[in-house]
Amino acid sequence: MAQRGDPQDDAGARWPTARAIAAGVRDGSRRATEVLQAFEARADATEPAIHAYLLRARDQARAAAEAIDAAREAGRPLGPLAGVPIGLKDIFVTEGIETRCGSRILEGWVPPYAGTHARRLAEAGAVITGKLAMDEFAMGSSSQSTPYPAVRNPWSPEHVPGGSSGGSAAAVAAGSCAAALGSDTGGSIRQPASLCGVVGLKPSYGRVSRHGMIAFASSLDQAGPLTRDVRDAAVLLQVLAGPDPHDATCLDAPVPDYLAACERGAQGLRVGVHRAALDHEALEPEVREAFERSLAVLADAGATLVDVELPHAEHAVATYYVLCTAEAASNLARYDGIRYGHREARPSLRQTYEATRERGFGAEVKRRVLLGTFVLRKESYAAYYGQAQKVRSLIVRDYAQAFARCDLLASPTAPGPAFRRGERDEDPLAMYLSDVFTVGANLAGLAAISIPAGLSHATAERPALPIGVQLSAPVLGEPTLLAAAAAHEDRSEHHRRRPPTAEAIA
Amino acid sequence: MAALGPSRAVLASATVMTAVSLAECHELATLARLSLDDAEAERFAAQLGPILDYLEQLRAVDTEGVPEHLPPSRPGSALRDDQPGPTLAEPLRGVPAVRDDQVVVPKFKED
Amino acid sequence: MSPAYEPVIGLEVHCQLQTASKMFSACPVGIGAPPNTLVDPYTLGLPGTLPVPNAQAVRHGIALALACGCELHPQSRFARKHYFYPDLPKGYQITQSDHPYATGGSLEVPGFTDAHGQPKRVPLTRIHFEEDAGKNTHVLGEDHSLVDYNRAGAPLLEIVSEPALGSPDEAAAYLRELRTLVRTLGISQANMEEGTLRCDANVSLRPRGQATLGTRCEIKNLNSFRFLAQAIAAEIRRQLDLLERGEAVVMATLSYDPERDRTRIMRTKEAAADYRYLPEPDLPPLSIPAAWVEEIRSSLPPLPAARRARYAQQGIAADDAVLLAAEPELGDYLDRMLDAGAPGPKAANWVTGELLAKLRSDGRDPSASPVSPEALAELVGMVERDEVSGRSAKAIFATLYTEADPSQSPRAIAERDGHRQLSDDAAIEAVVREVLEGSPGQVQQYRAGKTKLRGYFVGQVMKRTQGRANPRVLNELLDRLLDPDAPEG
Repeated sequence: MAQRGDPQDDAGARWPTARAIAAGVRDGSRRATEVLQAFEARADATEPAIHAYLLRARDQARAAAEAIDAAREAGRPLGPLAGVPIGLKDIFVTEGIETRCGSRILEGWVPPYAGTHARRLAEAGAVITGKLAMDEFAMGSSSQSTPYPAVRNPWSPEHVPGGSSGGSAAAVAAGSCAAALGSDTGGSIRQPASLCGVVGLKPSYGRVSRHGMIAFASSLDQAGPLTRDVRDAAVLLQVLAGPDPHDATCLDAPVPDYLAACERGAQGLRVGVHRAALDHEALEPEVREAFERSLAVLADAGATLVDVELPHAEHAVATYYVLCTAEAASNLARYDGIRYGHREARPSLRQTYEATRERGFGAEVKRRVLLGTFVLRKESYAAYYGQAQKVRSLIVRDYAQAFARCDLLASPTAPGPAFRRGERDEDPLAMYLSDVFTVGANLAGLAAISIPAGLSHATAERPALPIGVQLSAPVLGEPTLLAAAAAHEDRSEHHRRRPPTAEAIA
Repeated sequence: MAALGPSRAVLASATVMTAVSLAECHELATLARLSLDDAEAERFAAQLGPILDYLEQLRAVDTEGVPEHLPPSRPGSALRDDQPGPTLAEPLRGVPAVRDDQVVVPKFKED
Repeated sequence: MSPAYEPVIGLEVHCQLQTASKMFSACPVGIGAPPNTLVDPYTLGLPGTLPVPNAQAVRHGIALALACGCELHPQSRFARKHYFYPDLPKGYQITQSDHPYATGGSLEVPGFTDAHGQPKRVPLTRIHFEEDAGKNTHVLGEDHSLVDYNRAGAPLLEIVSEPALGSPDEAAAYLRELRTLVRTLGISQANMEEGTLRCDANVSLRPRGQATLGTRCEIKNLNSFRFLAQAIAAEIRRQLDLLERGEAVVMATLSYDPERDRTRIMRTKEAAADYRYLPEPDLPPLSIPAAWVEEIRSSLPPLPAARRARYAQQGIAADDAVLLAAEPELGDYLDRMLDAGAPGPKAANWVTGELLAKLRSDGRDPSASPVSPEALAELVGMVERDEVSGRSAKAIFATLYTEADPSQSPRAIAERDGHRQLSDDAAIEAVVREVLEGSPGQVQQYRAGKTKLRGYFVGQVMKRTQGRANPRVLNELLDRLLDPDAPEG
């Protein structure tokens, strides 16, 4: 009997993993151009309802796929992602392909340089299918905060896909690309992965370069893959990870074999649970039940469960919003309409700045820029920004103490499944509070992953929607993280469930 | 109260402590080069108040002697050798306004 | 200056470091390139770009800090300083704020002494790294300005002095010394015309004898030594005028108008910007490896203050010493002459006089001098030993310089061209006697009191000896032989 990790053992050609595609292209049983055609056809069918793509790079994708096939015919060696159609969140800089970061202010900007992510993926043989939709400048948890068509959840178009990497999660769930890249500042890979029923991996801070990923909050941002299964995430991480001379915060630690780590199993791993967090009143009972079932799966795989304390976790969301808004206000200062993107020309310089930014930024971006400006003012810096950086040190310390007692932490990814579109539009605080389980990993720079943990029960109000579980590991603990996540996946069928809309199309 | 901070319901019932005035909102907007109309400023002022109230919790945390968080330092290795690299082939491509190979901006007062 | 008030001046100097690439990106740096040609994605602040510090800039910074005796901090931090300006591509400048890499230290100001008569040392507050902005050009009569980003991101050191300079001249001397130092270290061209050395000055007045400082005002963009001194003097006049009328000085930023010789307020402190400093999240703290510090310390060139002290000990005039320290190559030239045994003061005169004049008129560096330091040392020695006259020595030097033939020694030229001085008393006496005997009328008139004729006798002797008679010996002989009381014959 074939193993789970074997590309042959998947739901067949209709839902191949990235590994199966690359293996097929390498051994000649698939052609990259045909693979691309199949995914394009599915995107053509799903996009009108889902809007996962902000831009489809059809010409470039075709050229890339043809180059792969030509290389194969010429007998040249092919990379680990040969012919795999991969979508990039629009936050990633793509040379020669318009990059807007989901914002009007960058409309028309065609980057003259290659970001590290697009470059490494292309070098590994990936075929970039296009730019995936997102909350503007990655600020949001719904992918509705955008001047462009809002992304829908493939499991229910009336529900959000999560955010800010909502386009990435929806595209992978709908099968309009084989894998996607997202960015995670406070949960923006993991939460949409959870809401769309796919795998979302946020590597340790510094494990993957930030060069070519448009900055939202520089000390928290991290790029990572959204995939159908854990092993695909490992393969993408393998390609993305490692030092980059263009990013001074990128770690130069050696890159281990992540796919091999997926086969280590969970035997003997100590999984820590912060029980107090489960009493959060926003946590839906169904999510809690799914979480407890996942703990049982891990225990069944040989893991030991231990209780841990994270005394400052209750301040994580507040800490996160002070830091991320301050850094965002700073990072977005460059969008002034002078050197690139859209300029609202006015008679005076100040009017030009103000009109450009007023028209170029949406409400959520303005709200965060204002809040960030507030906390960075001379008179409030110490009480807000300075204090938040100190509390962050305490949170980092909490995690260090917890990881002295366990190898991994487990929690729900999001307090609930996808919420309805428009539900939280005018209630920013409620939206912020939904990041409660995810921001800690960003504050402490941890590696974290969200994996499918089941579906909610369908009711009159909502259909069955995916639920995710989150595992976190210390900085550079990706191998342990992947081992446990793969062990969980090997003992469940959740990641094989397909959204009804996509299944119908397929 | 749950271990992960006040919930939405608790916040909704509390009175807003940190009021952000319209004037203050405009002042912040000026610093950030955002020109808000009054309706927008009013809406943001109303939304910022509860958010700032929520952030107030940080002040109560005992951080006596705790250092501010810093990115991990890498002695020497985060530096770059002084090797000149390529320049942009078309540096002004995509610039909204150009004249004489320079970027055009409305005339402004030096200060 | 008023007897009631004394000025207190501090300088903030920006010095562009001499590197091949910019402070935080591999973009090449250069002066005078066509606009917007030294531009890469980081320089333009394109989304997704990140700063990576230039190791060479850091090494240069370490060298200056060591030369000034600063405390070097093994860990310093970068910060973002925010303001919206078209020449600032990211909307913030990366600089060092609360945690600069160097603090303390001092710089000697040549020609100025402290209360104890010692050479004055001005304490430094700090030195830090930052990146430069681009350049705005305002087009006369147009409604727009033009921006060139070539300079944006160029590596800078900001050197901040304590308010410890007592006069406009002292401030200018401090800046000159800083220029000398960074040029000696080879870390900057420090050229004010090209903008690789720029200066802002803080000026305050206080009642003489008062310890606390008065309200200070900052004059921006003083981009020549002359304007620096003039602007500070003008600002002192402005503040003095206010104080003497009983008005308060308001903290302000000013510019200097050289045409009217006046400072003008640009903005007052109330309107000062809030820069919203943010610790730079894209850069880990700057760690300076201890090994670098030791390596740089051990390879520092001779520093200007030490050079001046050494020259002073050798009896070299202070002005010469300042000049020789300010032009290290010239100082190195002198040092080789001293090594070859030339006497200090005379050698220094030659170097700062004849040699420097020739080099300057040819636009040559001392290292390219056609006359080697060893040859010039030999020539100076010949003058010292009366082998040639001073005048001959100049002629020999000119010949050596023009012929530029290293195989020719000054001695050989002196022989060849007949410059060897006649110091043989008997030989000169014979000529003198010949002249006197041939001019009995003049001798008579001289002895009758027409002493102006002495020059005639000297001229005649020199003519007959082709100028080689030792003037000292000749004068002694004339004294003796023209003495009316001397026995005839």
